[in-house]
Amino acid sequence: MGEATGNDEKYQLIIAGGGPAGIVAGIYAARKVLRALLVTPELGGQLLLSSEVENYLGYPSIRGMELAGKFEEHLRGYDIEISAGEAVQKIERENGNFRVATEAGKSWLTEAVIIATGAKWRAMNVPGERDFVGKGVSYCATCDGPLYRGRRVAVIGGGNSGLTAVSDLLQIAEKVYLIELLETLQADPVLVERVKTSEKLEIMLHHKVQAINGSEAGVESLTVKDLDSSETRTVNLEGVFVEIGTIPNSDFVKGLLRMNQYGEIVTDSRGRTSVPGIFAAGDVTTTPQRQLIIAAGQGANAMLCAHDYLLQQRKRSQK
Amino acid sequence: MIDFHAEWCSPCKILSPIVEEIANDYEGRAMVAHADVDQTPNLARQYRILSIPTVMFFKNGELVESSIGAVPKQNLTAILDRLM
Repeated sequence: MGEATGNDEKYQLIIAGGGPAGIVAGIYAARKVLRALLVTPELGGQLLLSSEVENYLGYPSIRGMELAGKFEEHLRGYDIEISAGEAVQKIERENGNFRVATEAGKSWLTEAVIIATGAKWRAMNVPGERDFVGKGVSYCATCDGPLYRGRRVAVIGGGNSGLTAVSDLLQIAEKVYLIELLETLQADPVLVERVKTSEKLEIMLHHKVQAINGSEAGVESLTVKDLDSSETRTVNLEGVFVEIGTIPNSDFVKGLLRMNQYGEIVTDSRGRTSVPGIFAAGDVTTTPQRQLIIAAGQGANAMLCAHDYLLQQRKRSQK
Repeated sequence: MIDFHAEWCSPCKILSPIVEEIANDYEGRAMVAHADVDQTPNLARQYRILSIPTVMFFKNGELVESSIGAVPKQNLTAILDRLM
């Protein structure tokens, strides 16, 4: 196993992204003995930002960081080249192949590509949010939660990641507000049941965050609007954890691949994109559910279909 | 340059080796240190560390700049170069 540095030798497959989809694709590629390279800023993807994972097969409950470590160990047990530290920044066609390049200028030639670059946290885009990143606004409850011991915090978003954040923060914070835009929580009932009786938790449904307020020292309050009564309320607190979903990391292939209005790469059941030879898997695609186990499965699917594609190309060139 | 981090923070684990590389690259020119927020709670409180990893840059004893998150190496070296 080597650390790839960039050269002109041609790969059969380059996998962009090292989250669950990319890692599984890497394992499958190695098992097919493809000349493959995985290019990623880090191995683990969003799993590195997850606290407890309870819905992946074989592990009833495991820390995201620990599971990511197991994934990496599994991958590194195979003979596959990995270029870690930088993301893919550009993919271009070059004489029937693809040229894949990173920001710092490493580049490689490949016959096929799997894009598994995942997604990153979505911002609310309300006044104050950007100003207080790192001063009370956080997009990673797992990373920053423990720094809020004894403080008052809010979690924005009532999906699974929001409820997981609430569950973690209830162990640490003095008071936790859960603010959801819709009239109901979207999280799995098992997660809601676990926290809803806590006296430290106040759930505000059908409320919209309007602004995050504070001073030089950091966040001091949150302005929320009750969408039923149209009344606004100021909640004094020091931490705001934004858990309102993700946006796909697909900017680097804009104009090259067909995407939907959200920037998700359109794929078919074989993981094929609008460009033959380029496949995509996981949270960067139009798949409706953002789940670790789904991303992992799609990584395997895309890689096996990419393998079929490579075999067909070979047959065609031999004719 | 101080890298505030913790054992339980995975983005910190991505940044740590980068910080160590910078420590080697800038040996003799800049002082580079890690500070575990669990081991140095007073320091973390003094600088209101509410997100990790946070890298703070000090010049002549004064905090002049900070960077939040697991950022690429060049982001941090750009700040160091500017301050030198």
